[in-house]
Amino acid sequence: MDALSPLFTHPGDLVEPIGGFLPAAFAIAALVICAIALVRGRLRSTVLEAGIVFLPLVAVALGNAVLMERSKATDFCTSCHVMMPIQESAEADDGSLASFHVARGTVPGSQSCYTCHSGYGLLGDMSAKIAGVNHMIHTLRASYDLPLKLRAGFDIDSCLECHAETRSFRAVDAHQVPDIQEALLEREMACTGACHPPAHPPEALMGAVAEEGP
Amino acid sequence: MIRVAALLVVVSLMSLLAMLADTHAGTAIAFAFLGMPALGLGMAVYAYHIWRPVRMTKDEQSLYRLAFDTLRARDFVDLLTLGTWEASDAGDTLIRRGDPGDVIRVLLSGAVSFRVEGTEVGTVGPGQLVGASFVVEESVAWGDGVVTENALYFAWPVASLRRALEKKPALRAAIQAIVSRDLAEKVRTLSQGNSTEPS
Repeated sequence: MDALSPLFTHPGDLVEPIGGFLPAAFAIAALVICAIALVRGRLRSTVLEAGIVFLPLVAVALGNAVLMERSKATDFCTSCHVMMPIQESAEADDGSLASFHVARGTVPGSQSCYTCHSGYGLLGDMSAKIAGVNHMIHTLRASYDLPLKLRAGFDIDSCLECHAETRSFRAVDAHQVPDIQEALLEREMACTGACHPPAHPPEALMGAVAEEGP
Repeated sequence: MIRVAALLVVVSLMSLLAMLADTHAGTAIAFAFLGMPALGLGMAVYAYHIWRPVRMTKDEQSLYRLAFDTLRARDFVDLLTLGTWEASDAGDTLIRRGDPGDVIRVLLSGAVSFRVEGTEVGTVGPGQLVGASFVVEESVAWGDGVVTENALYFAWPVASLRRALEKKPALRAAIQAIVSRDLAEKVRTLSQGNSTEPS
């Protein structure tokens, strides 16, 4: 079957294109006014305030909302070279926990990274965004250490969000032991390591060298 | 300063459009770490341009209080950029009959006597305008203005003043009110038996 046939193509988000159009419209209107101000050096104060203050503010606010949404996409995470081996591993079904979930569609392919790394609830989303800003700073400064590792332990709420109420999860003997439950909830142990395979294989955490130009 | 603010906002919006066109880590970094600070800086520059403190020299402050206190201080300072301070000694002829009405002056100190065919018709003192009617209509001087006391005054080219006022209707109305007040005072002085400038 052709992987590019319409049946296998993600339907996409109909809302997102409209969301991208709105900030662009405000931005272009403000750009026109600023361009006139650059040439003439002066404009009516109301027009100037619209072009330098209000329209750009609205455009940037809407642009931030669009960026918040688009930064959840797997393509966004893997647009950094250091993430490429992780993407290849996840798509290869190599036995790692991440590839297991991606291959079986138990996490949405378009947001596979964000689904597991965003924690639980609104605070989880916010901490994921803050972590994203830190990632961008490290990328700017090329200051990330290899192999990649989490600064704190993996938040198992990402696992429990889907698994906690399933019968198959509750039927596992080890999940019913009170000491193990307490250790998990106290973050003294994680789902991976002792019991389940690592989310990403060690070789995928070594980053990738950027392709050299001609 | 408006150009600087506009340029910073253009940089910010260009980074936003690049991010919207193709969102990846690079464009997101450009938008977050370049575009947004540029927008903040541009707005700060514009805010400073709007709210910067008005500074006047002592002479400018005196002139403002004498004749232009109905204007906003910032508008007055903007008008000052169109003209120059000048001085004349007693005995100098400031304006001759038939001269084109291309300069309007306002006295800060001194006095100017106006004569028509040798007959004195009035004097102008501090805070009063020389050539007030030139703002209202294109005309020529119909008397001679001779400095009787050393005079310090501010002079505006009428053409520059008219061009600036065309773009600011509210300011134009305020200046016309000042001119009208000056002319009315001269007419009142004339009707009370004191001669006044024939403008």
